[in-house]
Amino acid sequence: MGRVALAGVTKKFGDVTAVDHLDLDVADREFLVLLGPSGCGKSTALRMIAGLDELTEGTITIGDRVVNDVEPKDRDLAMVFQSYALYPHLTVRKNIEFPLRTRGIPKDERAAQVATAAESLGLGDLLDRKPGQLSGGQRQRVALARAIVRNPQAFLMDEPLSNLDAKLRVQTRAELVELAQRLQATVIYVTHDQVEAMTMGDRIAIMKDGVLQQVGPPQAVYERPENLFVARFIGTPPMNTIPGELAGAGPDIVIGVRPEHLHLGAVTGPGIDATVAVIESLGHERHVICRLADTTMVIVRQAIGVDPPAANGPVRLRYDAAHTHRFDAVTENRIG
Amino acid sequence: MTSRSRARRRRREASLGYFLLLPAVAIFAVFIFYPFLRNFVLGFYLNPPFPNLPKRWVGLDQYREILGSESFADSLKTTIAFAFLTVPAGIALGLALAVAANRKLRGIGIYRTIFSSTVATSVAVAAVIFSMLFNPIVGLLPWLGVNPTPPIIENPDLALGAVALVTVWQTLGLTFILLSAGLQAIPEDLYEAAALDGAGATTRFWRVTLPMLSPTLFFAVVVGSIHAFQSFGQIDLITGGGPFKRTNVLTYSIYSELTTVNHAANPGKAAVLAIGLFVITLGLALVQIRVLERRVHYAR
Amino acid sequence: MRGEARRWETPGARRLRKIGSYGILTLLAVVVLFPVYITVVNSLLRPIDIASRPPKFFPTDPNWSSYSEAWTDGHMAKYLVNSFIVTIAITVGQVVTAVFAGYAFAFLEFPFKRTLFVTFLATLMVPFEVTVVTNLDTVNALGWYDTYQGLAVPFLATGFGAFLVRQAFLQVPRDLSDAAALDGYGHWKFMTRVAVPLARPAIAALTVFGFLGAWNQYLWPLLATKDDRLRTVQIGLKQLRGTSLDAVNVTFAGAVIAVIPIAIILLLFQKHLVRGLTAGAVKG
Repeated sequence: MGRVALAGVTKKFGDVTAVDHLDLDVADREFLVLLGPSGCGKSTALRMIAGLDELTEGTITIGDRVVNDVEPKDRDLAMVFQSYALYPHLTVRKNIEFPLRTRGIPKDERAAQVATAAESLGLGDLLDRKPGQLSGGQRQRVALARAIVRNPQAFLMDEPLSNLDAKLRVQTRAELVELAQRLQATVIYVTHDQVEAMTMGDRIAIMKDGVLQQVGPPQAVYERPENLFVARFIGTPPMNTIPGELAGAGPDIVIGVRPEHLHLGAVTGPGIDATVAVIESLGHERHVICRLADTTMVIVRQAIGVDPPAANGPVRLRYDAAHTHRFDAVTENRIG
Repeated sequence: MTSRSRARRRRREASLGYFLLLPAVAIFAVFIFYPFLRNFVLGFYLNPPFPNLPKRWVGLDQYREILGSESFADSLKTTIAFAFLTVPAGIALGLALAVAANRKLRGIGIYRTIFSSTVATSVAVAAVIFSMLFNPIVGLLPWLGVNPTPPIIENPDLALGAVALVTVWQTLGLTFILLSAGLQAIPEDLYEAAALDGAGATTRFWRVTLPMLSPTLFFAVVVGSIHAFQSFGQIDLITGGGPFKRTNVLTYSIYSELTTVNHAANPGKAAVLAIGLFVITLGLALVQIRVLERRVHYAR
Repeated sequence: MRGEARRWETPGARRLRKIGSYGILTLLAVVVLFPVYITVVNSLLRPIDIASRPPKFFPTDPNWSSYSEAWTDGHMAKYLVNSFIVTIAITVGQVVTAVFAGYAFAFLEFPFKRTLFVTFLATLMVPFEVTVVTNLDTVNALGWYDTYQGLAVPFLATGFGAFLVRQAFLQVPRDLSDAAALDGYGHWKFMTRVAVPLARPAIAALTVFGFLGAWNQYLWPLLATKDDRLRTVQIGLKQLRGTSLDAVNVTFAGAVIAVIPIAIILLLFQKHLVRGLTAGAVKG
């Protein structure tokens, strides 16, 4: 039913290839996160699924139907925009009702559906206000209500949380996942925030420069990044990448170690020489930022209970070979 | 399949676009571009002194003759003089009103309404009112001692100034609105900063208000000049181009060639004069674009 | 310059400064309003009193007959009707063509869009006075001399209007048109239900601006009509002024009649007019 499949989807704007032969299969009821830095083509991919941008090549299938030539309104999708795209001159009620009016649904039924959608998002008291009178969080929920009222095959969400303040974003993140589960909905969710991706997605698909880098469940991607880009993009603080020469692995290799797998040892023991540059305490843990011989910066995660190293002092970094990732220095792809 | 349906969608969007533009394009084509281009053709033909005789092709001769004639030069001089009489005075007065009204006082809205009130008057209304005020028998100005012989509007030295006075008054409301909006757009903290730096009211006016207002002032100058070059109604109503053609501005000279007062209508001549008028307003508009562009570049 | 609080001033000095401000403002207001005031006064005086020296600055015994004379004998009633018909036709036409063209330029893609847009802007460079020679011929050829359509049709579209509305439409977020496309709104519905309501300030400004311009037209109605039954208020004033000085009070009454409708409209829509007049300046 709610399956969305992209095969060889390509989008060119003149000479620029925004999306390059994207293959992606989103299962029914799956929550898939399209993740990548700005300009990676994730929003363009979403807009092509919605039908707002035309494909240069490839096919998009929704349910059992190839939708390349189907108008956006006939694709049976709902979209939540980063700006929420609420009609500022209409009340909350009219905004939520808007997609129903165009579908010729009788008035009574419309009212009932609006009430249900509004109720499920706690908007019952706000129905007669206009968007300008609402807070950012409330607007975001109106946008969600307008999407769910249509009961579509799939939801497309384009950075729907990025206009919220940090605290509200964390809270809404959980609410959104819960809502998706309750509706048993297929969701394609675009974001540049890897924390959102890790916490929300059943699977995440990481894009860079229009090219899909890796698809998989968050934990699998975290544990086994397929290339240096994914390795550095997923995880906070990001994975440390140490030139092979410094790690005794040869010049063609880059060693990746996550901050939690790096340890500070005595200068006399084995490991990589480094100098402490900055110590950041986050309250529950500590980040020791060190400079290697070739000025590469690495981050070591340290429990608060452990004694911090001397500021600007020399240290030696150690890690367990089992927790390292090896990448080809030229192709940047994972080795082994 | 895909490309065909895409082409169909594109075609549908394009035809909607053309359909929406059609009404305006039709009006422009018939009443702006066609007449504009036809002026050049009309200018090639000499109209006979009596109606019903054939027109004669004279090519560029007529352009040369009319644009080089003394009467055109006089008309141009009159038009420029009129612009110089109306624009600086109008802007100075408008600025005075705008500065006076740019205060936080109770009831200031009433004063603002009064200062902008002359936008409600048309050129014709203003001309009729003032021509009565100038009248030596019923007018107030003669009673106030401004009573020259010949009377103001028949006086070769005063008529253009009189028409200019009417124009300044009639456009005062518009100038006031424009400059007021410009003044209100100046951020308050600039004044506060200047006050902290020890600048008095006069210094603040010259160092903050005027420079910050300069784009608006410039816009007002250009709009005012274009207006001045297109002025017609007040001249027709007050002086009829006289006395001795002292108020015969370009638009009025076009009009007199089209209306048959003492000779047959001469569209050929009117067309050449219209081209002259166009070139001048185009020049003004280009200056505006040039200066505005430069200003935009400064801003970056 | 502004009314900022000057804490070091004594209350007396502050009050004095305030009185000074009001004094200057009132003086300026009197100067600006004087011609209008004297027009109203003179319209209520008998011609003989208007010529009296010293002049009367207040109508002690208002004589209202000048208004009925202007209204009926001076045909001001008929002129007003004509002006309203022509002005409303022009205003509605300008708004509709501007919304249509503005929508096409802001929301649609089609070949030669840039060229067409430049063409629209180019119309702003051609003053109407430059086109009258041929427009007179055209109107004659169409049989529109001395008709309402002859007075209105040449002005049913302006490049300024299309530009103003396009700018307003470009402010409508792209997400809104995308959302409307997903929700099943076609271009017509999106234009009428979303784009136009959102561009209301610009459209209101254009309406007031267009109304004012059409109402105050002078050269074209003078050229394109001869029949008294088709003349507008502005040309009617010329006629009224032409009558002898014995009826000068009627001329003044006519001027008042010509101003009243537009004054009412401006008082109601002052805010929009300001926006329309300053649209060009602010944009730069």
